[in-house]
Amino acid sequence: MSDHEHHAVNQPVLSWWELWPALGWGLFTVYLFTTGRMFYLLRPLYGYLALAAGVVLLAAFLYGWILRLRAARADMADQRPRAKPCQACQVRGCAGGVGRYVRSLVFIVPLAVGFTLPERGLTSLAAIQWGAGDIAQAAQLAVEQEQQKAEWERGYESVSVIGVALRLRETQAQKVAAMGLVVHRMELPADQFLLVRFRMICCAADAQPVAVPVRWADAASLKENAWVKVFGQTDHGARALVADEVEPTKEPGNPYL
Amino acid sequence: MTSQRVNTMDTASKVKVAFLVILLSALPAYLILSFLWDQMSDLLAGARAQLFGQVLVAILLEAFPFVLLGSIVSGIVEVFVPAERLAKFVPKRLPARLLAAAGMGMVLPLCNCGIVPVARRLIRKGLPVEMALVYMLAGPIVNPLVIASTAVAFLGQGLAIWMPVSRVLCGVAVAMTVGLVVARWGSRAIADRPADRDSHDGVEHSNCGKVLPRLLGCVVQDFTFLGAYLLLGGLVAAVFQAFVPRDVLVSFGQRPVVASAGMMAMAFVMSLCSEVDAFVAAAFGQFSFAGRLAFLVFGPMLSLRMAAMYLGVFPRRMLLVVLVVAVPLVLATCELAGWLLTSLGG
Repeated sequence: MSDHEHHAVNQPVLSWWELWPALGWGLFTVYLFTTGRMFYLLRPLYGYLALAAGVVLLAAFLYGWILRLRAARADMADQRPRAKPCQACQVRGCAGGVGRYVRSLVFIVPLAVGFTLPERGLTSLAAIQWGAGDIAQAAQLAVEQEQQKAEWERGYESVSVIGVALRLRETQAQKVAAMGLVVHRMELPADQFLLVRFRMICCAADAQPVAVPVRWADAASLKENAWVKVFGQTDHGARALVADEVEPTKEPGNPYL
Repeated sequence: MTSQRVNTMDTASKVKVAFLVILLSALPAYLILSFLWDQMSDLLAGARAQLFGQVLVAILLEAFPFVLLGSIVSGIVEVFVPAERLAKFVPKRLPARLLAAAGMGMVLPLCNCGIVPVARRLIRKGLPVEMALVYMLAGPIVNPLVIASTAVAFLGQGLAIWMPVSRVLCGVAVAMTVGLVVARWGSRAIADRPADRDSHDGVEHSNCGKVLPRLLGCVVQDFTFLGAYLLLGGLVAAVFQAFVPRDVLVSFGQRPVVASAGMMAMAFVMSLCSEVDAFVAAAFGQFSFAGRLAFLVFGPMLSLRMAAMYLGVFPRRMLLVVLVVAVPLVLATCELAGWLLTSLGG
């Protein structure tokens, strides 16, 4: 067969093995986006990027499928035996490999795991695993990040956990309110818990827990991983927020800082 | 006629046997699957398993758009750049080749995930292996976006110039040295891999078919191929993130070299994108400048997810060479940069 004939006969056609990951991952990203679960795992900007990639993959799948149909119709018209696609160049008529089946099937793993994920952000385990409780680090972040305008609620300045860390370092008996996740740690006294938020730059893999200790008489009654809003005063000496009131609250749509 | 009937009966009996097998195996299969599903549900309901799942899916969601982008660039290279034209741009002298490869990161600015499909395609187009390797190692560091994000991340710490400059210099120096080692001793070993060639059976396949189907073929094939390796790397990274406390790595403390090694281990495990890792490094205020620089230089070069993707492009031996040469070099160059900063009173 001459080069010209080879090129004419061997139009590139992708196999189902190569096309289904595009379909699977494309549908998965659309599912995560439409259900709002995407933003428990990614920053909004990266969430939209992931969605765009998913849409491109779905379009690629659709086009690949149309090409397959066209090729099948052409084969039937010519009564030509169908050749298998070549792994190296996507051209039918050359050798294939077992590896592509394995690589294709591997895509089932994240899809199976992804569909079982809970509809919530990172929890106390991540806070403990990734080092919550380092006030020095939180304060370091505060110096760099805290630029929010002051908002007041019931006479308390409403700030983020990072803002509380900054005020703990600098002020005494300042009235602040902050929202976060309850995390209990063995090394803390019984009347204390950690108020945790995660600072995420890109995705859950780079999330860093930011925590401040909160002193409250009923600390033990709070459930692990519960979302609460704490109204209290800074204790500069003890480096803890002394709670006047702790209110249960809903997890925000975007739980990350 | 007789043979046709025999064939028909054969097919019919095959269908019957298949039906019988499916019928008989349905109940045991159902029981086994429901048992496994119950076990899986219990396992996946656990907090640690959920953390593993969250990290895995987050890594993939974040990285796949860039792999796709890299695959599209790779497809464009495949369809529109003839191998002969590419060969004209390859300098003859080795140092010039390595320097040009390091500079390619500015011309084709992609992050560490997106760069792999392009490098793989360039090798298949005939680019020398050492050039592709240097591009893969230095490209994510000299990327203008990465330089800008590093400057912004360290703006508040007075390192907006020193950190990006050190990162680029150390990254390029390490990548070029690894490229030099591979060019001298290793590139021939993988030059003969049939999968690395663009043609076989005496046929140049890059000319097959129309432009758009060819482009689609390249994009989907690259995405599936490298996506699978990324997935394996992501699995390992997620296991580490969910089961190994970061404190273990952070506890390396403030001692020079040891702290840098700890930060390199952290970068390897965390498997971050080179465009955002500077913000994470900036938050590790308790570490020395050299430690944070080591995190920023080593992470884009080699991480758990990148190691898996490298295996899709290079043989295992090559990965070993990269590890053996790059690890001490990153340590040495970053410590030197830290010492210089201290000496200059920074």
